[in-house]
Amino acid sequence: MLSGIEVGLITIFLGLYGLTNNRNAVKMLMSLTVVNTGVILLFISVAYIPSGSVPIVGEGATMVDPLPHTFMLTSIVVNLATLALGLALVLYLYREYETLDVQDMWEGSDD
Amino acid sequence: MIEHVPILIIISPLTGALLLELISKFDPPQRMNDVITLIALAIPVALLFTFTPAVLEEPIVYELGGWERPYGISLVLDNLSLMMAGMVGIVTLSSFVYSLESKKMLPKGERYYFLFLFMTMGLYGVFLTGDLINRYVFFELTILTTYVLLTYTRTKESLRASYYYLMIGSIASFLFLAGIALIYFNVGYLDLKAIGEVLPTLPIQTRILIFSFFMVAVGVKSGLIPFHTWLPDAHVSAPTPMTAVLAGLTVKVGIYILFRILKVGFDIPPILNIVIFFGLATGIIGALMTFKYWDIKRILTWHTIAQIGFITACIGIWTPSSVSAALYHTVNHSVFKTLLFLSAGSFIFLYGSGDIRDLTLKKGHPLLASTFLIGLLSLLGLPPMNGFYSKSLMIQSTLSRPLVLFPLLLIHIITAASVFRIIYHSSRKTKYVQAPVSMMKPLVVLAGLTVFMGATTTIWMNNIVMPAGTVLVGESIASAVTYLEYSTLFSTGGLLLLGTLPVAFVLYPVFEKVKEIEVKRVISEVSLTDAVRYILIGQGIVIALILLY
Repeated sequence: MLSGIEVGLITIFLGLYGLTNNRNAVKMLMSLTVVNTGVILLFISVAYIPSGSVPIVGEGATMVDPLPHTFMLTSIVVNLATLALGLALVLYLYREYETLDVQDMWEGSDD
Repeated sequence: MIEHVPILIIISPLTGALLLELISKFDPPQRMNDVITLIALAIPVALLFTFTPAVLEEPIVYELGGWERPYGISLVLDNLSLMMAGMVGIVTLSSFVYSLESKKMLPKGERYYFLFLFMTMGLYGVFLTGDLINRYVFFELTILTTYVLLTYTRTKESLRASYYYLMIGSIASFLFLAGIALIYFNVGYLDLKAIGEVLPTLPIQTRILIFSFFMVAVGVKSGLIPFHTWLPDAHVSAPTPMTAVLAGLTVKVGIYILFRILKVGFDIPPILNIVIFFGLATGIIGALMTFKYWDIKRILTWHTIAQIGFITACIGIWTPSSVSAALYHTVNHSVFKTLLFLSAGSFIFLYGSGDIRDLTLKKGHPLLASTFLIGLLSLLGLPPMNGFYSKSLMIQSTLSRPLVLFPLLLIHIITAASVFRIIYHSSRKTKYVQAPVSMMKPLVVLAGLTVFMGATTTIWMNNIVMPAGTVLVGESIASAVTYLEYSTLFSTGGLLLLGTLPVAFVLYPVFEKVKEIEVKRVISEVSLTDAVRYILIGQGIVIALILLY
């Protein structure tokens, strides 16, 4: 069985593979989200304590550390904003360049 | 009152931004928006100035909501963050005043002020916050608004550059998060102080592996080669005030994180050496690349990369004096690079082109030409500009490490030759445009500051920078108060800087040859997929260090 940490790392590298092997602007954004999912999974798995209880002081001896979870919630929100902005940019890029291929967008520029 | 200063600094731009959005429903006159934004930007600067003496006596720690460390969120205003926050204040205020006066240059964009204020808030937050997580959150806030602000020139290139920056910046952020996760896995804390106690006990291999993630994040944020790929296009296509903020502040965030990260237990020789290596490579390549271009903004952008390399290499020495010198140069570079970009923006506005052969320093606009020249000479490193003093202190602190000293001098020589090139080409034409220049106020203030900071180097160094640098390196403050004499500024370091200037003249034709080397798509204009590969390669280089141990 793979542990959460291993799955997280594999997901990160899958996302990075997607980033290096895609030329479609939307697909690159999707790969970025995959990387983010991997990071979140990694973080949550690292924070997980087997048979840990709800982090309320006074309820059981071993508690799950709540800090990484709140941190990941923040990260999810940040990623949502980034993704929304990225998609908006892609929309404008498509209007200007009439292509979604990032390689084509950078072709033919001088200096 | 005094204990609330850190939060007031952050709240002020935020309130301004929200107020702007609130009153926008009532269609207020433009003048009102200007005034609100100006006040919101000026309050933090005023607060910082008023409370500087108090902070120097005792750092202010503000616990948000009364939750104590390590549970709560704390804001820290000490020597280091005071300096950085002051830098944010100066750069944002002058850039904003400039964009007020150059409003005609900007296409009509709603929410420009709103986003600018949000970005300012993020930047203050990055420098004032006491823990890694909030630094990440505030930096994301800064960078998200920056992506949008970049596109305000409404050109195809700016959209492209913004998308590129978004992709690369996000990857860096995720790798930064992965690094924090690895720290948490090994240490079990997220508070910097607690990390600093446990991390040094880990084996070197683990620390190098963790650091490789941070190196990528820092490299991308500050534009170290090979992570610099987003930087030139983003700088060039952004509106001028934003270029100034990008070069003056956003890239400095990476440097600041490097300072803070090295402190917690990464200050071991192999890691410091790799930092020096990246710094020197960045400096030399960045300085050489300036010879390939005629566009003034692009040249200055590559100079930013070169100077960042210079600073990073100096941080890698990791002694109190080198770190203090690097800190001081970080602030100085912010001031004179903002001045340079804003002056260049005025020239572009006047001449309609950024080609250095088209503009003239000789005639027409003596005030603009002199502010531009002051910036250039500071970059070149001539007394009494501030660039000379911080550079000479940096060189002075590397005297015991010849392997670092000579490449640093080489960077200085190439930079000097490149500045000669700008001055030479921009003073040949005698035809000039007769038009009033309106955006002079911030330029004059910044030029004055460039000279003033140079003239008062000893005061800055002795009272603010040296204590901050010494605390960073981890020695007691007592050893920091080695009184810095004014004459030491003209010691070996300064003489070396001035003495190598003729070499720059002699070697100038050699550097000109760089123009013929084809580096397109290798160093400049790297495609997005290649840029991701570069990031992985860069991280691989750091991880490969493990093999040596």
